[in-house]
Amino acid sequence: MPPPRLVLRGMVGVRQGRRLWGPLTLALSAGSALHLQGPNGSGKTTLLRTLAGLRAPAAGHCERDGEAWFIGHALPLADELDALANLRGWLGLSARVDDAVLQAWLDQMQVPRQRPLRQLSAGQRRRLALAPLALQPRPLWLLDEPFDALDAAGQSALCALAQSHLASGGALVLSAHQGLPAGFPACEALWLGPADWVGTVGQ
Amino acid sequence: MNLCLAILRRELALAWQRPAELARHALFFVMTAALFPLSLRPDPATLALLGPGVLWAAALLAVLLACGRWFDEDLRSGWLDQCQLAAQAAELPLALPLAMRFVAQWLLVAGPVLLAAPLVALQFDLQGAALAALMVSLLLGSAVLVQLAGVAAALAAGLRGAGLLTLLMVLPLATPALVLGTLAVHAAQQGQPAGPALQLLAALLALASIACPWLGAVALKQAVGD
Repeated sequence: MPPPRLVLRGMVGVRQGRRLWGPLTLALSAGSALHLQGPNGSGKTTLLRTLAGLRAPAAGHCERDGEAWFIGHALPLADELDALANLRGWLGLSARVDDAVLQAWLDQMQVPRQRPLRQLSAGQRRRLALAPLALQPRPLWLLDEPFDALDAAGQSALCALAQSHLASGGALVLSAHQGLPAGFPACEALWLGPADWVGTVGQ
Repeated sequence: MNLCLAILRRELALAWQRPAELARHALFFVMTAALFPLSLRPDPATLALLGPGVLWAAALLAVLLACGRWFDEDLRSGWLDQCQLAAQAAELPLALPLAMRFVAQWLLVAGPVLLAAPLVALQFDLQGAALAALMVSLLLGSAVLVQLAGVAAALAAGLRGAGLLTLLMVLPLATPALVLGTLAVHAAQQGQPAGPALQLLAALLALASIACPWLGAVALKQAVGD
């Protein structure tokens, strides 16, 4: 039994005084993936932000084993800067980054590196969000709608990243409205339903 | 360390892409301060009397007006999330990246104003010791103002009409710096030592440098977690 990467104990999410989900109790072991499902406004983003430690849960708590990447729906990229400068800033927050590595990665992903980001398409910007996952390994990924605006090539790149992440003992939680593409690793599903719904996914 | 360098580098790179922003703060300062010699009685004694106050008030407004909506874009784009996650991962307080942000903002906003100040001071016949006192007091005082404005901007992050709110919150808190700064210049003009007022201003800066990053970090955590 691999050690759990993420453990939730009786966690409840509340937003604007309304209970969104919970109490949730589950453990996510190394190498497993969880797919959050539910209608708009059911609290998928809130759950991901809580798991990342950006929000405090209204009750209960969660334990992470190691660091997590949280990639939200909005990307921490500045329109005025080019792709290279943006990634340098983002990845540089946690570790030293080598420009040559970034440039090689951008070329491989076919993202123009010298043009300001406002001239790039939504899909090209979204591809940049794969950079932290590819270049700075962390044991837990929390991805909010990562397939949004990605084309087929981008989607298969993310699928390949997720495969190797899980194979190397990582875990991931993601939300995806359109369902997962065929190449994506098998996921357990967690339905964040109407407000009084209580969900547990056993291991 | 990486965290601090990355933040400083990104802020400077962003500012480099918007040079007009930098010039705007200095231009505001120059225009406000330059209107007074034209509209007052053109008499050296009057100008020397009013000069310190006018220069300091203009610099204060230029710095505060520049600091209204610092964190809005960072909050919307999720940049603040990433800063907080990086700080969490490195087990550093969020106050540290925030302090770095203050340093960047001080360089970018107060820098141009400080560069323009000696030229504008010529209009008020400030020379020698008085000019030196003005520059030192502005150097210390602008760092206090930027940090106060940063805390207010953090408190107001994500609210509508935050620019005005920031200004209203900071103005009363900024008055001690204004009083001490002008006192120092007045003293130097009359041949008295400017040291005591400047030392008090430096004490104010020390206090602000300890308190403001922590207060701002508390406010930003609230904004991120909301």
